[in-house]
Amino acid sequence: MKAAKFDYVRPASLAEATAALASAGIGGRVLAGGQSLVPQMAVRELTPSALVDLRRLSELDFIELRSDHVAIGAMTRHRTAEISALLAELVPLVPLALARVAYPTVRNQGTSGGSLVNADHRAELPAVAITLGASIVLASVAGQRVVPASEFFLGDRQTTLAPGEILTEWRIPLEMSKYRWAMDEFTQRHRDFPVTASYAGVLLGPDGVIKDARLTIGATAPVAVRVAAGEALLVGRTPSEELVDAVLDILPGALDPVSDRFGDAEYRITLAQKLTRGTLRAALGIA
Amino acid sequence: MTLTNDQPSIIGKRVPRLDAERFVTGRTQYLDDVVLAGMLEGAVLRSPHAHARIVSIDTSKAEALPGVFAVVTGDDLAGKVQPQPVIWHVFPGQRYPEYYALANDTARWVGQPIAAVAARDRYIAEDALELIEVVYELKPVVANLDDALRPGGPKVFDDWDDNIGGVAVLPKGDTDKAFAEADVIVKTSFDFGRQMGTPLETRGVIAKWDPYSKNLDLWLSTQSPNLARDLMGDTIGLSGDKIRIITPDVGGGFGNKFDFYVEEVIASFLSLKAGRPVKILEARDESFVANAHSRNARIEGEMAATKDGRITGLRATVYGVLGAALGTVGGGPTWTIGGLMSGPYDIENCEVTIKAVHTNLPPYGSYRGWGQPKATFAHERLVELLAKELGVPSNVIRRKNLIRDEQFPYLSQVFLYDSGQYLACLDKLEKSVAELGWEEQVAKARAEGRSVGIGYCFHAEISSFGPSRMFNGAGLTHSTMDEEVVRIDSSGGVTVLTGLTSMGQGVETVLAQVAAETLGVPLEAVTVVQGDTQACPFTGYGTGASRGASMGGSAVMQAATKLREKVSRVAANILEASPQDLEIRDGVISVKGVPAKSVTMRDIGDAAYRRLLGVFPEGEEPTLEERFVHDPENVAFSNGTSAAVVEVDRITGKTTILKWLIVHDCGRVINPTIVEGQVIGGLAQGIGGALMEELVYDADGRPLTHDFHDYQMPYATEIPEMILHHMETPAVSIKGGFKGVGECGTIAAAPTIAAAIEAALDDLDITIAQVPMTPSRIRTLITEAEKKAAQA
Repeated sequence: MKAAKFDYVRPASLAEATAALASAGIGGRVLAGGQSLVPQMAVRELTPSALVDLRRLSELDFIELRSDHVAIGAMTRHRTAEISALLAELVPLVPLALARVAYPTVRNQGTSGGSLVNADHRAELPAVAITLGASIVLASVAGQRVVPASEFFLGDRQTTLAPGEILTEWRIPLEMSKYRWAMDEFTQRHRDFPVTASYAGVLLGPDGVIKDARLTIGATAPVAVRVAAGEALLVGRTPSEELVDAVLDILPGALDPVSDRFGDAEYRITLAQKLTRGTLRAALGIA
Repeated sequence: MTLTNDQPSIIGKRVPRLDAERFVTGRTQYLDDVVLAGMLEGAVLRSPHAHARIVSIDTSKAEALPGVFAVVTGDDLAGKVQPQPVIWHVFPGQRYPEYYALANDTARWVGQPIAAVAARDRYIAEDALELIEVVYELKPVVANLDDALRPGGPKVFDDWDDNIGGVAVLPKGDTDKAFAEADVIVKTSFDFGRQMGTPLETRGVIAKWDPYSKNLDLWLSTQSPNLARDLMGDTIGLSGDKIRIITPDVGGGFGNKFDFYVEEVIASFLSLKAGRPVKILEARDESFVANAHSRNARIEGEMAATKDGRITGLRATVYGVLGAALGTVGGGPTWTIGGLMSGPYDIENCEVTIKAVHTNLPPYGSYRGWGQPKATFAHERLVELLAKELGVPSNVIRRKNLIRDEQFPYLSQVFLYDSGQYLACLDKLEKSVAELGWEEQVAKARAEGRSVGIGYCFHAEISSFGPSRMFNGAGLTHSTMDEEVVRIDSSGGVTVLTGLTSMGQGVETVLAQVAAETLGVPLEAVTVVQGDTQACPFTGYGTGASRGASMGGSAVMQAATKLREKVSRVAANILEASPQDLEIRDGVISVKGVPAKSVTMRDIGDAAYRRLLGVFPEGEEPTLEERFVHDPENVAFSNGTSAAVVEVDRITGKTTILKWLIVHDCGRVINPTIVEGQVIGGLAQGIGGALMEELVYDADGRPLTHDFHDYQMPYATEIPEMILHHMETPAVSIKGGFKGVGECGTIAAAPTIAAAIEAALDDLDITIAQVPMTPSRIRTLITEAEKKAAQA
């Protein structure tokens, strides 16, 4: 199929972009890397009346260390973030997850902002943002607001992004740099969208006691699921195989997975347990 | 007497493909690259419902949209077209649902064409589709085989008492007796999901209907141009001389492009109505409902044997899960499952019942393998079951039952197998597996706790669809012969004119090799012309059914042989020598032992076309061109045997193929590199079909697979390194000895993988009976087997 008719503008600054999006009205849509939006437009799943192309906005292409967070600009290409030395050092979960996004030709184009706004329930970056407790910065002609990732994602391809708003950056709290991270996912075919994904992070105290933990299961529900009960179980304990087993036992009750042609709910729980055994052991430092 | 051909052998050599540079550098011209003056682009409105009465269609808003030139519906075609043609009539008393290019009163599958628009461009055409208002009245849906067979269940056709269009029985011997007297009987039921070929270039057509000459020119991405011309003529009532099929470069066919589709008719009527050429290119998302589907079937099979492993009987019922209409090949591929069920084995008693079952799904059509992937899966799975039952390795059963060399020609239920060295082929495979140390490597991996196993498969492949009368007798209303023309021009260059299509497989190169060697000229001297029914000779069955290289190659060889005779007479006349004293090499004809006394092909061309006086023989007809129509007495059977090592993850159920070995026999090989491309490419496609690819439908007959995220073809990352060994047992009825090779990979892949998975999990009681073998399905089998084991 071919896309339905749309207007197209290519602003030179964020101010121009928010103004253009405002004047485009309810049918306006932002074009970033185009890796999800353009295919959806091509089959008329999405029929925006106007596209505001951000690809000249180099001001949104950055990875910055700030006082209490790391900020990643919306137009930062996946590949740029994947190979960023700063991210590898401070929040290695981001490059770990990005390396699993499609293949390099897609990562060369795809952007942070695009992936977060597209909010595909299987996609890695929304799950990473949820896991890291990231904040998402949205700008419009009315100003700027900051939304926690835990509130930003409403469902599969649904977010709190309002008409006229542009995602400009996402911020990862700097304390996340003290955690040890791991992620893994199961795909039927190399580098597809995962059938199930697991993201784990552990903050160990100098005494070897777990001070905090993050555990998220992706691709099994409309929004990636933080397994709060599992995280709570980890805190205050020391790493052990038994502890991992105890967390895995929590997963069936904590997940209510979707069923589709790639697997039913029971299968996805099995996958989540297998993946989490690996991610948790790695995050806990169990050899 | 004739001259001696001293040309160094080109047949059997790894010459680079003639079209390689053109393809690799993007200088090909596919259908979508063809742009005609004044051309419009068409788009097709398709039913969103699996079964619905069409209450009304209102096209007025679409017609009013600026840029729209024509809109057609079923009413526009009524009385002007025949139902879509079916060429295979293999079920006695079969019922033929009438099916027109555009639905008239009922839509019977999601994707069935309802209306079509021609507009200035595809964008406007699709805008116009959104303006067509169709009122549907929903009807009960037959979404799958179980729906179709349920007594009192929904029906595809109101005036039928069930959903079965036809039943055929293919018997041999006394099967009932064999089963009554058997020591051992193994049985199971196999299910095959819907799949399809997915060429990189989707289907496409440009129709140009000249209102003055009343000629219809069709640019068509097709494997079978002459069939398309004849079926188009039958459908719209136009004689063949008025229809010209031009085939640009074809970006993959896989059988899909053998069939004749409704879009060819729709584009023609849009062109007639608009008075301009109209292009309809199948969009990728559209292809999942518009392209011929395949593979969907259930086989209930059983095998009878003596306790020492001799197979005495094979009995099966095949349910072909056809769609709501018959595609070009009707129930042909389903019938072939039954006709080739005994595969490479000598089975005295064999009876297969085949039922053509209709559902509210798209029409079933051609796809590389054409029934054989299912037939082979069934006999190889039953052989594995028998081996387990008897507690012997499956190759012991195979060796005991393979058709022996001295039994050829061997008559199965239907076909006469021409030649083969099946036992030697299996020996070679086992020897190679031993040399590679696979057993030891597998044992080592298993000792480390990995679930690794080796699976085997032996397959036969029918090829060289050629004997027209034989296939007419079987129920084919078209021929299978092949005509080829070889010409030498006035400057000595050689042209091969062929009706065959190069769709990426390299048939152009193969034909050039045969012509060059046979004539005694270098390969560079040969040009192959194809892709125009007005200029090229008649190919009965097109480039499909593993027949291009063998049928075309053989015909070229025989036409070129005749032409070489003429060349030798002309040369003898010029050189004042006797033909038997001449020899030819690299286009130079010389008197044996007197190299200085020679003429070139250029001299011969000049003598035959331009300056005849004194050099061209008296009484000889000027010009240099010969044709040959190859209509052989029999087909040719290729064969092969595979071994694969796979690893199964017991938790995820995912199968990883670690190694693949195939020993293959396609008769005399014309170009080993091209044969390897066919085998490896086919295996890759077969691996996708075995493990991942499936067109999934919900209970309402709505497709759930719309793109390549859902319909998962393998990437290179899923394909293991492959080792190939060739054997060459010449075809008996095909001059040159060539057999076909196109389909072996898709036939051999799934049975090999199923056996290997079972071997990897041999501590569990698992029988794989469903394709594709997706991770979640294998996981389910493992879970069930583990539960069973725990209870025991």
